Amino acid sequence: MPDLAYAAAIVRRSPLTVVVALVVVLLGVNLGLSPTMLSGHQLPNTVNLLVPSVLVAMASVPAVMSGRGGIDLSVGPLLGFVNVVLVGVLVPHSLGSVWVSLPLLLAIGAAIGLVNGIAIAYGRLQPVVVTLGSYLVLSGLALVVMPQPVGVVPHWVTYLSGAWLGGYLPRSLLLVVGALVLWRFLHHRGAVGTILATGSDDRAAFTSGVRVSRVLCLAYASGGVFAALAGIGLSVLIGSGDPTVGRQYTLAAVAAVALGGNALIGGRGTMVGPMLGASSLFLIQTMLSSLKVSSLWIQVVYGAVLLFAVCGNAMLATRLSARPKAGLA
Amino acid sequence: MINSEIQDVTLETAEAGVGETPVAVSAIVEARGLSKRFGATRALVDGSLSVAPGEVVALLGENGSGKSTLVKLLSGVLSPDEGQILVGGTVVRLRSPRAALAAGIVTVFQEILAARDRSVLDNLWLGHGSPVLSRPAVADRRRLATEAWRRLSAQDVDLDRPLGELTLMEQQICVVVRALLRDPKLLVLDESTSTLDVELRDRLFDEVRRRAADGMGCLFISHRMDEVMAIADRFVALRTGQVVGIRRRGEVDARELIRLISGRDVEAGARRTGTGRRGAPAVRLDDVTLRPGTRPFTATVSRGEIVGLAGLEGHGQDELIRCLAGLHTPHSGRVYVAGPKGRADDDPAAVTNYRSGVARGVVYVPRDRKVEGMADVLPIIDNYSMPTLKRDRFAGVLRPRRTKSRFQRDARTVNLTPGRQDSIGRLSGGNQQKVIIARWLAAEPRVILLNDPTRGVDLKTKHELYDVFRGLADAGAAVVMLSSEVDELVHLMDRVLVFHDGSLSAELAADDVTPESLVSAYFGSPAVVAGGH
Repeated sequence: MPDLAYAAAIVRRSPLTVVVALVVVLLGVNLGLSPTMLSGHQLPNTVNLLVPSVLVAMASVPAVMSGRGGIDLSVGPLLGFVNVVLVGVLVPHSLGSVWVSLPLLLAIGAAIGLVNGIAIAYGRLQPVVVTLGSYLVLSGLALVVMPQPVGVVPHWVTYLSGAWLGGYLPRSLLLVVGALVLWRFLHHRGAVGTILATGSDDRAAFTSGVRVSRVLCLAYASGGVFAALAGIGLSVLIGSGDPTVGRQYTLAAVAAVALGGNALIGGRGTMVGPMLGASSLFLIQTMLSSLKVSSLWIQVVYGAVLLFAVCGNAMLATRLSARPKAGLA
Repeated sequence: MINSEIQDVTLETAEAGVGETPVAVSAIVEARGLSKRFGATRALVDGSLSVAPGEVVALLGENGSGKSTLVKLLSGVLSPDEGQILVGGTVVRLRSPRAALAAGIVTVFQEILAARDRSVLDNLWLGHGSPVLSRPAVADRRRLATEAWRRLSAQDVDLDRPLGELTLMEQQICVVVRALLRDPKLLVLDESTSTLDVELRDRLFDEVRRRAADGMGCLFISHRMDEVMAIADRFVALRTGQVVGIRRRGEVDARELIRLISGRDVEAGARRTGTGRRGAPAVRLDDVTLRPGTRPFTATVSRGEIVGLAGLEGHGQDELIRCLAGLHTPHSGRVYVAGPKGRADDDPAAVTNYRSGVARGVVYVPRDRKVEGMADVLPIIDNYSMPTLKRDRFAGVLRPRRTKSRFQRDARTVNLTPGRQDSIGRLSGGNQQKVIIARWLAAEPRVILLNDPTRGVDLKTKHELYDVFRGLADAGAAVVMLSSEVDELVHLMDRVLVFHDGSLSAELAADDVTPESLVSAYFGSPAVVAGGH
């Protein structure tokens, strides 16, 4: 089947093909169903809904890349915790100004990620267990700080919910841009390559002089910063504090990473893939609600699409690796 | 008698020998009285060693003699329980591989340690600088990498390809070039030549000599006596964790070194003890081509003989043995295997996939046993019984006692000493290979395909394996063995098929197999005799 072989060659060159195709198709369907989705009137709402999902997917990427069963389950609760700290602690103490609260929140994200990283790298604990622990701790702490959804966000967060250029440039995109700038910087400095190399073979990295433990800490800490940005995105979206909403983001983030074509065993993957993965999950949701499908079905469709996409990627990839590898007898 | 001879050359004599060198030339790296134990096992006892600038020191010893431990101590992977390491005359503590690299001790480990998902370029510069704090100079890195790669291999490489897509040999080149790019003061090569073909190995030796002339020291470890004799200025022999002798080049021959290492008299080459009896053909290759445009060839392998497959790496011998196993499809032509009683000609069944081969009594021992041959964490006996477990059923229930008795029988045949509940991942390479061979003995194979089975195996175990292979052939099996080792081909094989450019280039009968005839056949022409082997 030459067509499949050709498709396989494309996927090989770019593992993003499947997810890009998915996003394009879903976007087409959505525009067919509600042509006004991208109008200046609706675009800011659409983007504001999308931003936390994209950022939280970004937050899970470095941990997965770093290998050794790397995963960060705590990103969802961390995003909720950041929202609660902003609305429930900083604003009441008049620390809501952007120059105080923004660095503080990012530092909280980095610190929590770092704690995860230290436990995993130096404590030699399983990432699933460590981050499940911090998942529970952060979920609990959010409820302790703020038992019910209350409060208002500071002015700068409200400002981010608006848009420039008559609605065509939503300001919440600044958060995503910020995350991308940070990632780009890490890339430029060789940190992303080192995280991936560690994820691919940590013994090779160690014996080559990579300080593997520090690299793992860096991976989890940068994920924490992205999760904090996601928390700000959530505050932009809901305009108040809510201690319960964060948790549900975790599994969607893991799904987005898988959809994006990243290897869950680490060592391979991109940042754009999971961002697109999160976008396609979002588009499925909007599509189903325009079709007036019961929201109870959303999870079912999520799961089906995830399995479909992952299988598609895997099948195309296997066809390629089926060609003989000399030497590997 | 032999023991007393070795006694003469213990450490004291050795130290006197070192003392003869001018004091001004201080060692690049010196190990003093290094000891390391793991639980009750003393892996290394009072290990002392020095390498002077420009000197190539061969570290010799069987598996388990303490070589790897000494290498790991020098490269910062392990810390010694006792003793000191001096670099340039000052005592250093190598707490991590990074510290050892910073001190100029660069090691190429026995295993190919590389990030297979990452590009060649990333792998070559792995561990340089500090992520976030420094910025890699990509253009310089590309240039230096290309130059170094070309100097070693005389070939160009696509630096952006993921390393996992390269052949085993190219991956090995990658880890060697990675070490060279660090401009080592002391280069430690631990079995780094086992996947290289003859040509590349010679190029590596040239590079080592070139750098040694500029003052680099080299610690060289290999199980191949010809390599050791070719490159080393000094030989340090280890046995059961202790240095048992230090000799200079010219003072010893290969035979004496082997005696020093093993503590007993073993012939340098394997003995050929074949009965010379040939049975019926067991495997027939009919007009096979391995690649498009290559010359088709026909060959048979009979029961009772050991046929060697040889050639420079990547010239088709590997594809052929995989075709025989049903793991690879020839470009054209067919592979036939005889039935239980019949001859290949009378009862031809084509091997088209792995299962059809297995059904005909073909077993395949892969080259990369770590990846393809064993379940690392499982005990020996489970690794042994995996493919033949069905036989231990009684009324549908597994009888562990049957497995155990079968294991005891086959373990004796291959002379396997560790207990059956030890996990296979912790055995030496030689013992792992024994387990895998015992596993296939249990299947009572008619055709045994061995893909470089003695790679990374120490000399004593090698000889035991040769005896096992010969025993299998004498018992009526057809043995096909890919080998990259000239000694082995010369001394063990009844016949050698040499491959060049994807086709059979020469078929040598036992008496015609010499290092010279092999090397000339490797290069596809009887006129090119590289000699000097």
